[in-house]
Amino acid sequence: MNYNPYALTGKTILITGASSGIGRATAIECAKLNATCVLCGRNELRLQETLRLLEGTGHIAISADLLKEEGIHAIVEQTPNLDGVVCNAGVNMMAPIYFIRSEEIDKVLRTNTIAPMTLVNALLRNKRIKNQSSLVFTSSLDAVNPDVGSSVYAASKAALSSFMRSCAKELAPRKIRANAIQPGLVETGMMHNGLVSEEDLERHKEFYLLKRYARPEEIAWSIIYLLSDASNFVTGSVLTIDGGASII
Amino acid sequence: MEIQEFIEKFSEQFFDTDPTLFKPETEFRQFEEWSSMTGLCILTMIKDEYGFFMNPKDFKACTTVRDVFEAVLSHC
Repeated sequence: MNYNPYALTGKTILITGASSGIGRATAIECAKLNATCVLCGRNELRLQETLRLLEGTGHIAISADLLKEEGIHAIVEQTPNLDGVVCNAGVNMMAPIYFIRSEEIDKVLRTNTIAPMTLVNALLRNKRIKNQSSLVFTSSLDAVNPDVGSSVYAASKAALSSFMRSCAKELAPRKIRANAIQPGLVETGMMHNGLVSEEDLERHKEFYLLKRYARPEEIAWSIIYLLSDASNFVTGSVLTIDGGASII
Repeated sequence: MEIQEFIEKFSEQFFDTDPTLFKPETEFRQFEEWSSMTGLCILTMIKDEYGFFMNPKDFKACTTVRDVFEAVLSHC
């Protein structure tokens, strides 16, 4: 017998931000555990690349902009009924408070906070989320322990964690669970954006007990735990995955 | 406002319950799916669709779908 409480066999999982980073790694790992994946992202080319990397059959890719009403509509129209939703799409922003501009605040909050709220709302209203399913939100360690320069990003992720708790409360009658992951820095394209030098990134790793940043698949495995039956009694929780950074 | 149209909107606030089970005399709190969240969804639907926020105390006094319909009707 293949005993595996972390298996996703028979589950259909929607993943936003699936064209790169944590989202792509989550899709790849979910497919390895027999899930059927619904990939969402803005970049059609990279989304198709992710699709080609998935094991198994039946996966679909929906190229859509979550910031636009028609993008949300496209996802709702094309997605089958879901056992799991991973609200992962996000954008980073680094600027001291003195320099932040309202249009940047708007962009970060729309992408990181408002879009996942709108998507969950649309999926619920259109009855795309099955009973006993699992919602997972990609928050950030910055939500509780912000780095200098991350004020807007930190606030957007803190709001997302708060929204997750409301989802957990309101959807509990349908046995729908909601949780968030709170990663420290992850080796994704998002961090090599030129705003911080490679030398500074290396020095920053000293603040992690394990002296390195996470690999995307290490975050994906935590997301998978929250999607799987292994976490059936876990809801309203935030799982920190930071190589010990928050206790240094 | 027709009661049939109201019943349709009312039943949409339930996820699992067969919509054909909703009649004017249906005692909606009997359904297994009923929870305080369903009640909040119904009150919000009434606010969105009919433009007034029904006092939760008045809603609590309603037993059947018709009771709620008539309470809404008296404000329209």
